[in-house]
Amino acid sequence: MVLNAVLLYLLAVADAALSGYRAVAGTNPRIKKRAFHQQAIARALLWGHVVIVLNVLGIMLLLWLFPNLLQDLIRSAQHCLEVYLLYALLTVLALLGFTMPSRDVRSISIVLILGPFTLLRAPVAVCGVLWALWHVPRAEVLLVCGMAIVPMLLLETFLWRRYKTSY
Amino acid sequence: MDLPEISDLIVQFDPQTGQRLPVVQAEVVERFLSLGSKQAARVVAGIPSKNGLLLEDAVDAMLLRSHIEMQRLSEEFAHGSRVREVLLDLLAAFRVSGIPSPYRVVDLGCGTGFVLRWIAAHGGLGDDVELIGADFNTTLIDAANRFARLEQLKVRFTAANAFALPEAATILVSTGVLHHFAASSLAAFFAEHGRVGTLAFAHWDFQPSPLVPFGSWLFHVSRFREPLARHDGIRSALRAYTAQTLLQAARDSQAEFSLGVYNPLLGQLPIKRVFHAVMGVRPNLMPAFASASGQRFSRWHAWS
Ligand SMILES: C[S@@+](CC[C@H](N)C(=O)[O-])C[C@H]1O[C@@H](n2cnc3c(N)ncnc32)[C@H](O)[C@@H]1O
Repeated sequence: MVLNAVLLYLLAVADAALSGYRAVAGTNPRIKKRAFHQQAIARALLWGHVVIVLNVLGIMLLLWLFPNLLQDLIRSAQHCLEVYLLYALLTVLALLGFTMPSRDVRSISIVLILGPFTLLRAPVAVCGVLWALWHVPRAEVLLVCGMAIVPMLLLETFLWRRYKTSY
Repeated sequence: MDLPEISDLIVQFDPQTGQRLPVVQAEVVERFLSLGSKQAARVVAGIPSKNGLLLEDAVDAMLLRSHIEMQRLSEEFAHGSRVREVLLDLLAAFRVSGIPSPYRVVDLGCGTGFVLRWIAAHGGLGDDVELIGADFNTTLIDAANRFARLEQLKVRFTAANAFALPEAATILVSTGVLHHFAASSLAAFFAEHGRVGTLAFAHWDFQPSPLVPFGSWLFHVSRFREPLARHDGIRSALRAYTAQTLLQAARDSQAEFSLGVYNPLLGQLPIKRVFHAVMGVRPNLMPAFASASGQRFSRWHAWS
């Protein structure tokens, strides 16, 4: 249970960081902007943690209301992870391609993997929830999953609207 | 220009004076509708206007946001370093051939000047090399100069028409510009290279391929937010010229260059590159260029 919770936490943190990068990508005309991207990622991590803390509080409240929910949540987390970890693994592979010295390998990993995977993120998030509900069909599970993925999916747009660059 | 981009129609310049001309919103909307491009018509209809004319400030702000978004494409494809590599080989060839410096590199249709700003930020070309970006859109030129100042880069940007260059240029480059020109005017574009004493040129643009419509849609939808950038990016890839058309136009221009095309495939893979390039070098400089490029020379094909 602890391992699954840690894995979900790490996935949420990684997803928030990438959302932070995407939120500002294509908004700053500078050539050297590492610090700018780092700041954007730091802000996203902060907001990502706000979402995580609110989720933990929400789950605690639900567990207090439905004491038998814990086992179902543990099982559903397992099933969510089956989908999310596969997606995460492929994303990490693509990101590895992006660190290669060859410009062509970097370009291919962007065109063939990172681009399509960005588009697939929301459907994959929903698939993870559906997969969990398939195994654990319970309204409270849907509620917990929704509390987690809806704000995570909206994080990029929220950050983009909040932190528009001026130039 | 059967498939115009939004940016081709919402800004108009007098080709002689370079003066900005007013643009009638309804005419542009109508043109896109008649071409069956509802999405483009919607974007143009959404631009603020006064007395039926598009408001220049609104158009400029939209263009600027789009160009800054487009910079991401060049960043992700490491385009700055690709252009710099070719320039380094050409400059090395000029130096061993005793061509007197200073050398002037001009980026035609530079937009907000990413390529030359990238090269200026990374240096290495030599103090005897002057970097100049030229574009007929003065808003983009003003922005490019401002962005260069922000990072104290040694490069300047100036308003100019690629078909009537006001200054001499040792090397002419461009990125994503050729598809903006009508096929019938490509030869005139290359002829201009001969007129301003250019020793070499390299023009990068999208490479047509059967995968382009889907690939380009995917890339732009996943990367871009600005509707103009999305629309024009996808359309650019669709109207790109084949290497044969570009080489033929360069030959028709009668300007004396040895002509080549950058390897259209990705290494040994049967995958077409997103961008290809057509290049010209004065015939007497070819041996020096070949030796300066070393192994890289084999990436250039179809020399004629
Ligand atoms: C797709 S943008 C490419 C901008 C830039 N090279 C880049 O890679 O981001 C095409 C540019 O060509 C410019 N352009 C089109 N026709 C031109 C002409 N005849 N003379 C100068 N610039 C031109 C446009 O103003 C626009 O900035």
